Amino acid sequence: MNDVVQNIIHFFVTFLFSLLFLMGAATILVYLERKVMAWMQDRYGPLHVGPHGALQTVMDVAKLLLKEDLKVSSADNPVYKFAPMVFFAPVITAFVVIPFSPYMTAGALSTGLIYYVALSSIDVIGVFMAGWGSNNKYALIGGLRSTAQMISYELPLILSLVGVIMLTSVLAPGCTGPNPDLNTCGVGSISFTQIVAAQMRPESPWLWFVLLQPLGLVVYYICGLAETNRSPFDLPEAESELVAGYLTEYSGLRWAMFFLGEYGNMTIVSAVATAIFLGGWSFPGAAIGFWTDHLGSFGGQLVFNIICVAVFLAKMFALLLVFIWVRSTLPRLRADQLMRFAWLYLIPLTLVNILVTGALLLFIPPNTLVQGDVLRIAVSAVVNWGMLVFVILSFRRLAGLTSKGKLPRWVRPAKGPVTVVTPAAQSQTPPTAQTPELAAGAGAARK
Amino acid sequence: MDLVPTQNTDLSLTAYDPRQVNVLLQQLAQVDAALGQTIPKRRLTGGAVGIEVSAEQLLDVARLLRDALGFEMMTCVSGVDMIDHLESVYHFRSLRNNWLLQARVKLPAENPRVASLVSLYPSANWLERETYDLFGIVYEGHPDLRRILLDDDFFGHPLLKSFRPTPLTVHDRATTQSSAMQAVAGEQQRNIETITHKHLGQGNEERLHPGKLTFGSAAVFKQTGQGVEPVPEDALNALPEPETLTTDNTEAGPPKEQRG
Amino acid sequence: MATEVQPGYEVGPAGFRSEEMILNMGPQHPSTHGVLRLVLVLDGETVVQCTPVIGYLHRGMEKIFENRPYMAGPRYIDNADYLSPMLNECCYAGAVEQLMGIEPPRRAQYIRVLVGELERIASHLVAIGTYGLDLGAFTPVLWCFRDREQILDMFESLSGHRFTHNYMRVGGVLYDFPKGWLEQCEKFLDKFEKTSIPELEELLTGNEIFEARTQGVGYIDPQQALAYALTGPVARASGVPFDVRVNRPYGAYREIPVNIKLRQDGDCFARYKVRMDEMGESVRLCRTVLDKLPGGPISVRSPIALRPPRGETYFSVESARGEESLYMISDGSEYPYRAKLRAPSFVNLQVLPELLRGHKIGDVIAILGSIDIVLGDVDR
Repeated sequence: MNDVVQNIIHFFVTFLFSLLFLMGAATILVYLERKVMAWMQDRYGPLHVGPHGALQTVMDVAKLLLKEDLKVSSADNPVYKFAPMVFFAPVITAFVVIPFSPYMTAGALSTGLIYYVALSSIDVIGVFMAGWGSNNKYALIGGLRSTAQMISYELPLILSLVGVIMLTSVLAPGCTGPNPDLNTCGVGSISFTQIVAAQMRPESPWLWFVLLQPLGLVVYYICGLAETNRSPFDLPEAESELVAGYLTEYSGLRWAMFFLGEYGNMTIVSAVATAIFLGGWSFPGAAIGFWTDHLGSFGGQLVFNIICVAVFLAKMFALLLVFIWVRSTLPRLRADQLMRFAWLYLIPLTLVNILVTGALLLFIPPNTLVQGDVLRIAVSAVVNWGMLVFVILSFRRLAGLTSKGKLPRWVRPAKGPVTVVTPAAQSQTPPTAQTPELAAGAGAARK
Repeated sequence: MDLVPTQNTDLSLTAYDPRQVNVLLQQLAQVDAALGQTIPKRRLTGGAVGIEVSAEQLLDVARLLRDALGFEMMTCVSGVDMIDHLESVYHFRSLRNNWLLQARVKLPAENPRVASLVSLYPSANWLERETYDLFGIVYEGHPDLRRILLDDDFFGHPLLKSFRPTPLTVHDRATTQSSAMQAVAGEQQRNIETITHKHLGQGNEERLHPGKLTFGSAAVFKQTGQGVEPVPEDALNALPEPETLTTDNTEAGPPKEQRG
Repeated sequence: MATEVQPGYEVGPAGFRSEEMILNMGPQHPSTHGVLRLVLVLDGETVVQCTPVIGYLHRGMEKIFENRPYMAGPRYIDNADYLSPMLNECCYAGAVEQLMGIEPPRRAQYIRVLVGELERIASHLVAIGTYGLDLGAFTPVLWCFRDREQILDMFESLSGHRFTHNYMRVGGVLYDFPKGWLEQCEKFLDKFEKTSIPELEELLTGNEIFEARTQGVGYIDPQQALAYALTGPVARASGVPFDVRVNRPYGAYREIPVNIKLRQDGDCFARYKVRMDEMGESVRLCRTVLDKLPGGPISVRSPIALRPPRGETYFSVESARGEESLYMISDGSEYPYRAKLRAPSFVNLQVLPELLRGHKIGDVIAILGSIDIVLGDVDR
C-alpha cells in the first residue's frame, strides 16, 4: 500500500517537474531565439513587454492559452483533436530520463537511451495525425513530408549514438585497474547515468565523448535538427511553400501544444547531447567531495546539486544557441534532397563510424604499448577526428546536395537547335478556334 | 565569360542609328514580294517602323518577320479603340539588328476577329488574352482564350470607349453573411453559422439591376427576418421599393456624384 | 477485381491507383509575392501542370490613364511596379516627351539615371532578400531591407515620399537635390559596395544548400527566353544580351555606357547572380553620374495642361524586371487617347507553367521567386 502511494506521489512530482521545466525552458528559449536572431539580423526583437521585452513570450503563451478554440468543420474530429496531445505527451515523458545532476533524475532507467529514442519517435504519429485530421492539402503534404523525414532521420540519429555506447564498454567506471567490474565492463551501457559516469571517471575526469566521437556529435546534431523540424530541415512547416504545414488549421491552445512541444523537443535533443557527448554536469567545481568537506553533508550536497544543474543547463543552452544560429543562417533543403541526404549520406557515414570504432576496439588489444586502454582510445579518437575532417572537406562533393554541372534529366538542354514547345499542346481546345478556315485563309493570302 | 564588352563606341546624343531603320525598310521589301503587294510603311518616333497589315495576312507577315527578317521577340500586343474600328497593334523586336517594328491590324468594330500568333510567338498567349479581355478582340486559333485580368462573369470590355460602368447606386451589397447577427460571436450562433456563397453571375445581375434584392442581402433580412433561405419571388414583389429602404448608406448622406 | 479507372487516376505497375491532387497555391499564400494564384496539379510532390490565375490586383490602370491628364500619369504609374516606381515614372515621362518631341535638360536626364539606378538597387535588394526568404533563409531579407531603407530615406528627402515618389515630370524632374544629399548618396554607395554586397554574397552565394536549391533548377534556354519575350535579369541569365539601356539607350544612358551582366546557365542561381552583379553595376553607374553630374535647369518650362500633338509612340525603359514600355496614342487633347503599359512581370510570368513541369513543390517557390514578379505590375 505504501508503495502504491509512493509511486503515485513519484508520478505526480515527476510529471509536474517535467511539465513545468518544459514550459519554462520553451518560454525562455523562444525569447532567447527572438533576441539572438534579432541580434544576428540587425534589429531589436521584442522590446516593450517587461525589461528588454523579457515577458513577451510569457504574454504570448498566455494569449495562446486564452484564445478561442477554433475547429475546422470538415476535419476528422477525433484525430484532429487528439493529435496535439499525441505530439506533446512524449515530449514530457522523455524528460524523465534526463540526468540533470546525480540526484535530480526523475527516473534513472537502465535503458534510458532506448526509452528516449522510442519516445521521440512517437512524435511523428502526432504530426501525421495533425496532417491527416486537418483535412487540408497543405497539412496533408506537411504531415507526409514530416513522416518521411522523421522516420528517415531516426536511423542515423540512433546509429550515431552507437559509437558512444561501444566506447562505454571500455570507459565504464571500474573497468580499468586490477579488478575490473565484470557487470559493467566489456558491455556498453545505454543508461544515461552510466554514460555520464563514464565521462567523469576518476582516472580520466575530462574525457568527454565529444573528444572521442566528434563525428557522432555532428551527425547526432544534424539528425536532431531534422527530428525537431528545425531549419534547414523545416520542410514539414515550410512557411514559404506549405503555409504552415501540418499546423495550418490549428490555433490557440492546440497550436500552443505543438509549439511548446517543438521547443521542448529541441531542449531534449540538446539535453541528450549534453549528457552523452558533453559530459553532463562535469565541470570545474562540480565535485561533491569538495563541497561536503567545506559545508557539511546537507549544505554541500545542496550546493553541489545547484552547481550541477547550472552546468548542465549552461551546456544545454549553448547547444540550443547553435540551433538558433543555424536557423538564421541556412536556407531550407528540398524534400528529395533531404531524403537523399539521410539515406545515402548520413546512414552510410554512421555505419562506417560504427565499423571503424568497433574494429579498432576489437583489433587493438588492451595494454598495448602502455598500460590500460590508453592506446586504443587514443587511436579511435584520432581516427574519428580524421573522419570528421574528411567529412567537412569532402562535404560539397559527397553529400549529393549540389548538382553543379549536372542538370536533372528533364531540364537538360538538348543538343543542337532547340525547338520551343508552344503551350498550344497542353491546353484544351478553345471555344473560338477555327483552324481549318484560318489555314484556308492563310493559303489564299499566300497566293 | 561573364561580361559583354562595354559598348563604348561613340554614343552620340542621337538615340538611334537611322541607318538601321533604312536597312529595315529595305528588308521589308521581302515581305512585299512574298505577299505580292506593297504594305504601307512609315517611320515612327524613337527609331521604329510601322506597317499596316490586313487581318488575313497577319499570320503570313508574322511568319515572314520571324523567319526571314529575324524578329526574335514579340514584345507587346495592344488593342486600340478608334470608335469606328478597332486595332490590334503588335510590336516586334530584333535583337540581332536592333530593330523595332510596329504592325497594325485594323479590325471592324463589330465582331473583331484576327488570327492568333501564339503558334509563332508563345509570348502572344497572355498578351492576346489580355487584349481579348479588355477589348473583346477574338484571336482565332488561340489555345486558351479566356478572360485574364477580369472576372470570368464580367460584363463588357472596359477599355472600349463605348464602355460605361454601371451607375453608382445606393443599394445593399450582397454579402456572404447569412444573418445580421452573425458578426457577433455568440454561443447560440456557433452552431448555425454557415457561409452562403454568391452564385455565378450574381454580382453582374446586381450591377445590371441595381436595387434588386438578392439572396443573402442584409436588406432582405431586415425586412423579412429571413435571408438564410432564398426569399420566394412573390414575397420579394411584396416588398416596398428598394429606394425607400433605410440603410446605412442612405443615412450617411446624398449619393456620391458620378463622374461624367 | 477489375475496377474502372476514373479520369485523373493512374494505375501503377503494382495495380495501385494514385490520384492527382489539385492544390490551390494562393491567392493568399506567404510566398506568391502578392495575390498570385497557382492551380497546381500534383502527382505526389511533383508538379504535373500549373495554371496561373492573375487579376486579383487589377486596377484598370490603362483606363485610369485615359481619364487623367498627362500631368497626373506619373502618380498612377507609380503603383504599377510598386517596387521600382522611379523607373515607371521614367517610362511615363519619357513616353510623353517622345510624343511631344521635347528633350529634358541634361541635368534632369542625369538625375533620372541616378535615381533610377538607386531604385534598381532597391528593387533587386527586395528580390534577393525575398528569394532567400522563399528558400527558408531568414536573415538575408532583413539585411536587404536594412540597406533598402537607406535608399528609401534618400528618396524621401528628395521627393517627399518613400515609396510612390511622384517625382518625375514631363520635361524634367520635380525637385533638385537638397543640401547634403549627394554626400549622403556617396556615403551609402561606399558602404553598400564595401560591406553589404560582400555580406550577402557570403551568406547566400557559396552556401551549399542555396546552391543545391537553385543550381540546375528552372532552366530557361535562350531560344525559349526569346520566344516568350523574356526581358531583364531573367533573359540575361539565359544568355540573351538584351538590355534597353544598351540596345536602345535613352536619356543619359546615351552618354553613360552600361555593362550588360550576362550569364549562360539559365537556372535560378544564374538569375540570382545576375541581380547581384547588376547591383554592383548600378553602383558603378551611380558613381559615374555623381562624377559627371552637369549643372543647369532640372526641367523645361512646360504648360500645366500638356497637349501633345496627334500621334503615337512606343517608349521603353529598362526597369528592374525587364523592358517596361508604354505604347501611347495622343489625339491632341489633354488626356492620352490610349496608354498601354507593357509590364515586364506580366510577360515574364507566362513562362512559369513551362518551367514548373516536373519540378517539386519546393521548386515552385524557388522558380517563382527567381522570376521576381511584382503583382502590381502583372495585374496593373
